[in-house]
Amino acid sequence: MAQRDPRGTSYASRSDGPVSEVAIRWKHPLDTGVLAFSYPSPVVADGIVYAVGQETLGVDARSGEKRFRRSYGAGVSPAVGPARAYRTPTVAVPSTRGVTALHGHGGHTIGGQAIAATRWTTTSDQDTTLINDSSPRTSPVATDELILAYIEGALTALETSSGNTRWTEATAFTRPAVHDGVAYVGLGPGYILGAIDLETGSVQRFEPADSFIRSVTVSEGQLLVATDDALLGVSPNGAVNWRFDDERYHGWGESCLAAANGTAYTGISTAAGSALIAIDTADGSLEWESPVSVSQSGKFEPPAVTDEMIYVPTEGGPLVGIDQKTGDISWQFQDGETSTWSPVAISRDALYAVSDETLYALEEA
Amino acid sequence: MEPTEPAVTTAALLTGGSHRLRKNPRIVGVFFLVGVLIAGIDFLRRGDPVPTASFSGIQAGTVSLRFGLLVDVVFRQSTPISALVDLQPRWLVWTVALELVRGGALVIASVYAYTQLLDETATLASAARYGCVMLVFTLAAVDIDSGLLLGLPLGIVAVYLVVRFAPVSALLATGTPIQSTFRASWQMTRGHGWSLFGVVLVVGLANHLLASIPLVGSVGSSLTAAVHVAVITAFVEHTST
Repeated sequence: MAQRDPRGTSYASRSDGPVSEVAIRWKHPLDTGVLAFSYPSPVVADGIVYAVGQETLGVDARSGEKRFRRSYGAGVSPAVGPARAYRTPTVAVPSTRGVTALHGHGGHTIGGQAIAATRWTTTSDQDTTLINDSSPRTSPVATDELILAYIEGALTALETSSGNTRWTEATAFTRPAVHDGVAYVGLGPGYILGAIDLETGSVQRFEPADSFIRSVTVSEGQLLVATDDALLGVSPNGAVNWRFDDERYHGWGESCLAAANGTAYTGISTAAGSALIAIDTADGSLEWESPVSVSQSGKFEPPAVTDEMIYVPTEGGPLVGIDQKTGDISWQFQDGETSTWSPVAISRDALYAVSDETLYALEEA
Repeated sequence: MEPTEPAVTTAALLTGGSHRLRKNPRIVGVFFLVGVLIAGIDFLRRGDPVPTASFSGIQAGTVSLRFGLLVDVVFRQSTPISALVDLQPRWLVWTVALELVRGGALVIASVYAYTQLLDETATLASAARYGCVMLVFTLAAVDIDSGLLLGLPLGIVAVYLVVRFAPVSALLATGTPIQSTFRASWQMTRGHGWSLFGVVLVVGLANHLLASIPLVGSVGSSLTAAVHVAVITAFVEHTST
């Protein structure tokens, strides 16, 4: 899923991505649409890389062999989760009409025609108009045999295997971050931090700040809550542990965090433009600032993190690998004229990202 | 002196069907039990991890005619064929078994009812033949979402075919070979189209409305199936004399 795990950390703990120089392991054409200004991150699960654009493409992560190509498009990443009754995972692809769940290996193809590709669907027949555009802007999250997705504006918990709705929460509006069977999410009217029990859908409400909540990430049992004017460290019981609102940085509403080993990383606006910063999640102090201009599409794209490296798409430029300890750039990668990169998905020793109608697998050169 | 059967009108067929059910209440009981079984399986399917397609009744703002070539009971939770792909063996067996149980119950009830009403003998061969045709129809069923422009002519063609082949279920149940069934049905219904259309309208609408009742809709639909059998029996007896 987008931002890798249900907590939204973008942290790949057992992976060794490229450190000093990168090379292309394989690449595949992907129909991303001619007017795409940003690309959803690919998702890696069960040995398959799933990438979406105007279609859904499944590719073997190691060999690069195409597994399937299906005509289900999406503007945000799919969520892939294990399904109790099935031998393959469920791939939840969100669209304006709801969620379409595909078989993990794409169903079957007979005579070049895809058959039985879908497992279940919540799609309605309602057409989307330009005035009432309900395109999902938040990627679904797969957790505990549930898919958490926004359907017609309401956060909906769908059982991964059957597609049955377990509960809905109409006032939620951020990507849910899941910890210990609870989904933490921003709730209406905007400054409420909600804790939704995954089993029952019951909601506990906290007010950690008096400004709009824009994102929630869970790091080592603590909630990292980005509001319009600060980053907060919040306990699961709603108590605020620390507040980071250094006046050199602004536009926290556009930040998108990754978190690993006691540090949070995000692109952030500065007086000179933008930067990538690292913040100690124990006390909310600044560890370092890198002049890297993280790609921004409404919000800054989320970095992807391993134990050594941080990978981010830069604004109109290359994909970069950054030393996690210092914030120094270790490598940059562009393939010809590529200019816009999706956030990175990491699996084992490879990175997966989309740029200019192509899905790339990158590895250490 | 034996009372003479009225002419083949929709009202006469419905009255004749009602008369036959009153004389054979056991048939209503059999379809009631089938309805309870189907509703129970619907309940089981709602709770298991295999996806189902839910019946859209009047709550969804749609009204349609539910009248099949074979006796039709609405399953409020049905299994799309695509949901069977990649299932773990135990869930595949579970799902297929449940579908076979309720499909089999419907076949047995239909063959039993027709043979009782037409005073014929139910045979394993005719039940198997009926079951095979039902399986083929189920697998071949397509849900066409074509809009009004194309949907209206397609709907008219579908209703016309249902009317012309309305006796197929009775003929299959009473042992007519499959290849003869459709030809015989076409000949039997010649000149009776509007009367049978009325039957399709009344029984098909009642089937949809009763099936729309939450939880027990399948029981209502199954009772409509008993009416379906009785009315088609009345038609077959009319045209055979």
